[in-house]
Amino acid sequence: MSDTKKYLVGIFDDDDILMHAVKDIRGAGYEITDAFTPFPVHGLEHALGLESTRLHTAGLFFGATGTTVALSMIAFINIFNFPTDFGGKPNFGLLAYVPITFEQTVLYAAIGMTVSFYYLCKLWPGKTPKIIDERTTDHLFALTFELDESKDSEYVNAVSELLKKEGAIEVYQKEV
Amino acid sequence: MNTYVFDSSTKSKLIKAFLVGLVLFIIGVAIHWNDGKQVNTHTENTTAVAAAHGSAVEHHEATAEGHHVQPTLKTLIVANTYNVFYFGFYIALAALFFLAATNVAWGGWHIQIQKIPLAISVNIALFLFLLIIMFIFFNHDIFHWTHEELFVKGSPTYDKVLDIKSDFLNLKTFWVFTIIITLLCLGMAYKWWNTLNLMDTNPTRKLFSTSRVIGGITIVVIAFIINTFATWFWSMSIQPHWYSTMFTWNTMAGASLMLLAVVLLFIHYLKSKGYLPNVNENHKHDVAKLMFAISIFWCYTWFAQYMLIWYSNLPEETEYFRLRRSIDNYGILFHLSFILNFVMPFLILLSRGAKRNDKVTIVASIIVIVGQFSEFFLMNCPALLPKGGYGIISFGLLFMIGSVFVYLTLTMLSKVKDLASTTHPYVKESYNHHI
Repeated sequence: MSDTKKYLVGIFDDDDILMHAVKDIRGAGYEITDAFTPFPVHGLEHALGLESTRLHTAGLFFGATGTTVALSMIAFINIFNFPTDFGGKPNFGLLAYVPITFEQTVLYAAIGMTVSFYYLCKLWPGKTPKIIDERTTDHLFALTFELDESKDSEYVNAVSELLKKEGAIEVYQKEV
Repeated sequence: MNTYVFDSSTKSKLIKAFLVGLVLFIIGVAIHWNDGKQVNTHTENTTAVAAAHGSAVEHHEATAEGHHVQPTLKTLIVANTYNVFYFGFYIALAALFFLAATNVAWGGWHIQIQKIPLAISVNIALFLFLLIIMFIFFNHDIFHWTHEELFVKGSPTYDKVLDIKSDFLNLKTFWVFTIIITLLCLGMAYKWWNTLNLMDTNPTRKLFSTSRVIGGITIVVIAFIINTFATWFWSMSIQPHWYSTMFTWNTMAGASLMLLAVVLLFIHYLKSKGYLPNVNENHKHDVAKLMFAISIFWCYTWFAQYMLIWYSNLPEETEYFRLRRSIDNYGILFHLSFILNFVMPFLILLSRGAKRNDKVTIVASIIVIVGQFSEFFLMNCPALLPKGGYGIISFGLLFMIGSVFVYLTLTMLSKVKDLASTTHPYVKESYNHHI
């Protein structure tokens, strides 16, 4: 695989220490690429300064698509294609359309958002996962710093020092 | 600063609100003074009223083609007053339900604000008293089925449907259930008031588990006894030929929606006076979020009832919506109530930022209260006032009874020793609440 990236990894064994470390490291002006935790740490996404997701906006558009498709399809069938008399109800009976339209909206939003979520997380069937440290799925916490050409050894040393000072139990570089 | 002081400026504002309501009411009475006086000279007044609010199709047709029946001033005032009392009773009942649900679920976030629904729930005594007075003195004006002549076989007023229903729908069961509901409500309100206030001075483990036990009992009692029979006897039987299994749900969903709006306004008021220092936008966010969710639930029940009746198209069921949906009576209000209770809160409170914005949530709360008031009017009054009657008298009474309600609630809040429940075992969770 050619598209590997190099990371500086700091391993922590406590979520409180991790939270303080994140605040201090960001306060010192270093950009944290990502954090890996075995369980959701409350408030970590705000401390990391991550952008809030735009998935719900996508959900709105998927839902709106579902509403439009359902309404136009039922209306087309009931009014033009195959008009049928159900107990004297009008062919354009909007009330009767509502349950199906609702279901269709939910279906489109759910499927669309699931697919977008997998796409955004770069997860799809047959994909080999990139795992920074397998222990982060069990009991340890990891902070990663992406190392590209602009980051020299001075940067690596400074961040490593800072990580150790903040209570990291391990600091290493890894290419995944 | 943990005890609320009911200051005189608030008192005078409430008295002014009451006077505004009184002026509106008097103006309304003056406008409607001659209502229903020029017609019905040939029939007795009571039978005219009975025919006017009889919901059987044949009754309605007969009166509609005979002469243009206008409700009398008495019917107008009685229907509106009864509606406001019923509305107040349901806010207090929803407050009990809120306390029960949050305590049973081991809720932590609401601990600091739970004295507000507690104070609201005390209003149940006042409104039950007022409702029972209405039942004693105006039973025949409100409930069509209480007229004896409907059950005389062979007479022209004989009503077969009501005669079949009379095994259940008669004055004896009505009073038995009214008394059962009253006693249960008073008992639960008393028990909640005692338990939660004792916890301020003497927070023991036993009291904490007691609050959860009575929470469970309250939910079951409200679901299966109070809410069911109160809506059947006190609201659905106003239009006695009609019935719907969604009606009870819909009423309680609407009442809970309205309660959350009222609680939100009380939080804003207490915060503006400097009380509840540790209540922040996270708690208000939760209340607004519940309001948003219950608005959707209310819409679900409302729509389910409407659509099922529209689709099955049975004459005894469609009568309810025929009366409310036709454009010359209540059509505008009917659709407006849907917009005020669902469309507007849904769109206003959809985003996270809106739920955390004080001004937006206040506007949404006021919309919801007006919407639910209209909705309760639509449940109770159209059978009594088939040609319309929602207007200045309704709002005059809403202001009057509303200011009495707020006055009593704030008085009860000032009797609470610890407004923010700082000794409750879960109060730390409420302080640290963050979403």
